[in-house]
Amino acid sequence: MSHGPSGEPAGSAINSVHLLIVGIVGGLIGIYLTPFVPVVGPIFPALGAVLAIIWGADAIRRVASYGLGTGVPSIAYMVLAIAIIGTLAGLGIVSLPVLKGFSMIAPVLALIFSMIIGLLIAVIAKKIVGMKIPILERCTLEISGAASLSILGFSVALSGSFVYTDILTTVVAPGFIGLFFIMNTMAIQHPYNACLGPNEDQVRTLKCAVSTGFLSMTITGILAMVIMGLPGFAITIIGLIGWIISFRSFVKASYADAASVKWAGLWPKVEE
Amino acid sequence: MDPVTLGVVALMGAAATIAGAAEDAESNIGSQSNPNSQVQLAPQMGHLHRMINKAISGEPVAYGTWCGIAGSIAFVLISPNFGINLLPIIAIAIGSVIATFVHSIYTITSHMGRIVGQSQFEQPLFMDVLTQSLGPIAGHGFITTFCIVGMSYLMIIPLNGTPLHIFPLPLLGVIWGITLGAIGSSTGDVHYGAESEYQTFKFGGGTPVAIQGDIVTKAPIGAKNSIDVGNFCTKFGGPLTGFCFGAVIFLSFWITVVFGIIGGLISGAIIIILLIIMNERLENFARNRFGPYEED
Repeated sequence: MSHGPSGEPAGSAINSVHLLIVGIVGGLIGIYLTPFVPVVGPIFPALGAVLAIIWGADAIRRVASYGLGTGVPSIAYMVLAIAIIGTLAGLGIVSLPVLKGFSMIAPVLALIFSMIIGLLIAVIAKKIVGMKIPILERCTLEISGAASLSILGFSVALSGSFVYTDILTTVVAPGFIGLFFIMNTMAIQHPYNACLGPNEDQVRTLKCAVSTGFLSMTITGILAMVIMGLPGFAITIIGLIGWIISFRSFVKASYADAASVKWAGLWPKVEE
Repeated sequence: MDPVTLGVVALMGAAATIAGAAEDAESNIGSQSNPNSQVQLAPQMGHLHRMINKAISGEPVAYGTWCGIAGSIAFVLISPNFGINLLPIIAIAIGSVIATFVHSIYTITSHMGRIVGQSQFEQPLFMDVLTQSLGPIAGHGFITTFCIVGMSYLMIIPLNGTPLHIFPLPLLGVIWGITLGAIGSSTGDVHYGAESEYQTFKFGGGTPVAIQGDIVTKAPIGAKNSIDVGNFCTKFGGPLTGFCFGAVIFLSFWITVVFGIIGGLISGAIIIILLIIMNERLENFARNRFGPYEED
């Protein structure tokens, strides 16, 4: 049932390449739709960010199944920092006079810059630090891309455009970039970190990823509600509905896969 | 020296102390951080349990997130730029309530995920363990988040024209949340209840790999639960974490308020040297008094 170069201990029911395509295409379409759709435009980048978070959570799952242990949150922390640098560099570079007229490629540049920095750091981690994880480069590259799209998606949802100066005034100057850094770290690393164990299951982990993604979208929506009004309200409502559905399905899956579900009493006697 | 600024710094120190104590209690009840790996390993060692398994990354990332969410929501409600202009204390409370909601959701998903992830060892998913621990976790989490964001807000009020810190509230929330999580993890974990989970082993030997997961799962009556660990740790771990974080906050602002920038740097260096000497003396005293650790 394993498709593609997924981590050895972690079998996967959903192909990692499909998740990669959904993450990149969904994230970018969401960001690019924003300026063209009146009023409710900011909903799309927020949804794109949720897709990117799901992709990132799957990539974390693949790399962490090589026994990262406490490194699960650490790699997400590191990669989100990479993504913020890459994203701001990608958005900022198109404001150079040389690149005048290329402002539309800014989100793609942000994604590419983040992935290049991610790849460089993975190569350093493997060649110089000496980490022995076979798929480290590919996964760090993927998580960097997912982190970049999630940061950019929520930032565009908050500012309503992907113009560098708008992002600087609405997201970076008031400090929301700090919130996105830590909130997306949590959303991307939590699903695998929360579900790991010998009986971890990809579908259940990804259900958790959908729920953390929508929860982050809801928080972004609450902020956008105060800043922009109606579009923020729509983001909050869609985020909440998505979260309720995904959280319910995660709880149901957990109930179904648990050894037993009890509301009282002691554990069963087992042979040691 | 300005007495009003000094009073605000003292208030920040008090808020930080409460935040530290509440954070340690919360993370111990949830067996977050260091205790978590022991609870995680217990079923594989044949010890089924009724403990909560709150595996939400490390405490720094977790508290950075809760305080960042609360700080951002409080910021948009307080800031005159967005036209709501709510009373700061109410805005901080609203932000903290939403952050506590997120905290509770993450608690539920991590407990359910981790327990179900070990279903081959017949570990049951105890839902009553989750519901009984969720109240104390959310309550202490709210107190912590409220105090941290409140303290961060005190830093950005322009006292006599200049605020103590120039960063915006959301960023300060994230940074102080991470700092508190790091202190709760390093100071609090020393007293966290390795003693409580490992009371069958001799004190002072640490937790060698051979006994990891070999935890006590029974109480004097019935099963040991996570609230027991919380009660055990509030005696030393909580107050000590609070004292540590309160001292960090108070001293780091007090030195510049009282002695100015240059004098503050010098007195800061003197305080660090004094602390190093005190730590060295304390450790020597403890080793001589309770005997050296044996190597085996």
